[in-house]
Amino acid sequence: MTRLPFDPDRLSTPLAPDMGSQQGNEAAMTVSQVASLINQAVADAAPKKIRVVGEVSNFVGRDHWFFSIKDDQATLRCVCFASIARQVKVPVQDGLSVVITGRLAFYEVQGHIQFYVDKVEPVGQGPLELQLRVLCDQLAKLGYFDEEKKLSLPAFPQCVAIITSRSGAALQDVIDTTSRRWPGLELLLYDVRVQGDQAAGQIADAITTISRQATKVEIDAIILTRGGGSIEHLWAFNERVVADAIYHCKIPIVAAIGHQTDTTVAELVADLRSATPTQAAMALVPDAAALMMQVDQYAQRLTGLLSRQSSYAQQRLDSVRRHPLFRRPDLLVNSAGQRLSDLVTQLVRSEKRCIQERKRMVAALDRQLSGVGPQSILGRGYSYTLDSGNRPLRLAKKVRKGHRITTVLCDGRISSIVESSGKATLQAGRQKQSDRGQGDLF
Amino acid sequence: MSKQRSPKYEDAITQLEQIIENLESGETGLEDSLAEYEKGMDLIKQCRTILGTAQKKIKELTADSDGKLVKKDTNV
Repeated sequence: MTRLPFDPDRLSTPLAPDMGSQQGNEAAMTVSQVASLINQAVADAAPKKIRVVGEVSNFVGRDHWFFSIKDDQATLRCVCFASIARQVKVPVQDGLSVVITGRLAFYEVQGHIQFYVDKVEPVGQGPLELQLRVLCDQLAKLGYFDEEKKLSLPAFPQCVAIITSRSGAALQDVIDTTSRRWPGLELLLYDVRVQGDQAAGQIADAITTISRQATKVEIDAIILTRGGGSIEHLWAFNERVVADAIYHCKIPIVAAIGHQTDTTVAELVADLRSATPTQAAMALVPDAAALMMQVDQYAQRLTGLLSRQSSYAQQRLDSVRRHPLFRRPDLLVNSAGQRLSDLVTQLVRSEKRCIQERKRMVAALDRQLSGVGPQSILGRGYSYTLDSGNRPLRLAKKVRKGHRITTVLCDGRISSIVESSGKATLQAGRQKQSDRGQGDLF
Repeated sequence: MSKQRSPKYEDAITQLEQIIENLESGETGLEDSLAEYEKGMDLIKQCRTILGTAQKKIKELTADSDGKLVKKDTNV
């Protein structure tokens, strides 16, 4: 398209749309027409179904996904609608190498060709393994595998439900083991498909139904099991619906799926994983024979304990009976009597000693008193006179002729009648001395 | 379910262990010990009865149309 030379005169004339075929050019097309042409061309040129391998980039998506797939030389815009995205098990994110299946089409609104994705597969890994890994990652984040959320198994279950196929060998293994170890167990079979499209739904329903009514039907635990098989055969046990049912189950679940080398999501979520159905049964039910031995031992201990205690009580009783108090009670009385007798003797002896002591004291005092008493003076030749009233007579003038007086000597008394009385005439000085001596005497 | 559930082994053995522990502590008088011993022997009898229960036949568990669990005999 060549540019027209500028002509100012033409400015006043409104420009007419150049719809004609002036100078031999073809008629202009609308954008939509061109877009339609492109769309047709793409549809004609590209196969209806294309598989493209590349690395994801610029991933944006919640419900619908928008991203590019690229290699080192080219980029292709992709869209994956929500209905498809929900089915994709691959964790699509930037940098992930994928194989996408779909078709190419021109997106008229934004004017570019883009790839409409119908399927996303990982590169270099089987889709089931990858799905398993993705689900495990999701469940781990949700805490489905956390040990602290696992329920503890009943020590002595009375009723156990087994969810498995009635035709599988796993069922027989569980029956054989439980009947051998714990014959009183009530085992309830919940028959389900364990492989195929319906299996996951049936298994999840069985778990949920039992969980809801476990208390009412008195079911203590569940064994979820099936025999070995390929990953496809075991796939029902890797479905999210089964994981959810196990996680929310109110009674403990022991899972044994496939062979020991297989690990399913169901086993990871279950409260206990066992390698085989037999081991699952062994883990859940105790061994009655071993318990019977334990009970026998308890019985022996109980009897032994009581026997020891009785024996001890008997010994105590014997010990008391052997005590002298009970064997010779008379000894106790005799002993008290003896003590009383001793005390009496002691008392009498003490009393005698006391009396003798007093006697000695009195004798000593008597001797002392005799030395200074009137008797001693009388012994030396003195005497004293008593009047008729037995009063000491001190003065001669106190008596008259005819008065009766009594003279006391050391060995007796002399009664006299006064013939006369008067003052002494001889040796007045000596007389005074004599009176003084008599005065001292009394 | 109207059926009375049989006594639990766990309850019986736990009580028995408790009795033995009490007697072993030596703090129980002779009269109490005798009573405990008789109780213990009853529990031992209970435990032996539970452990000696005859093998029960497996039953099949199904959900009826209302989702209610039903037990029925099976030929498994």
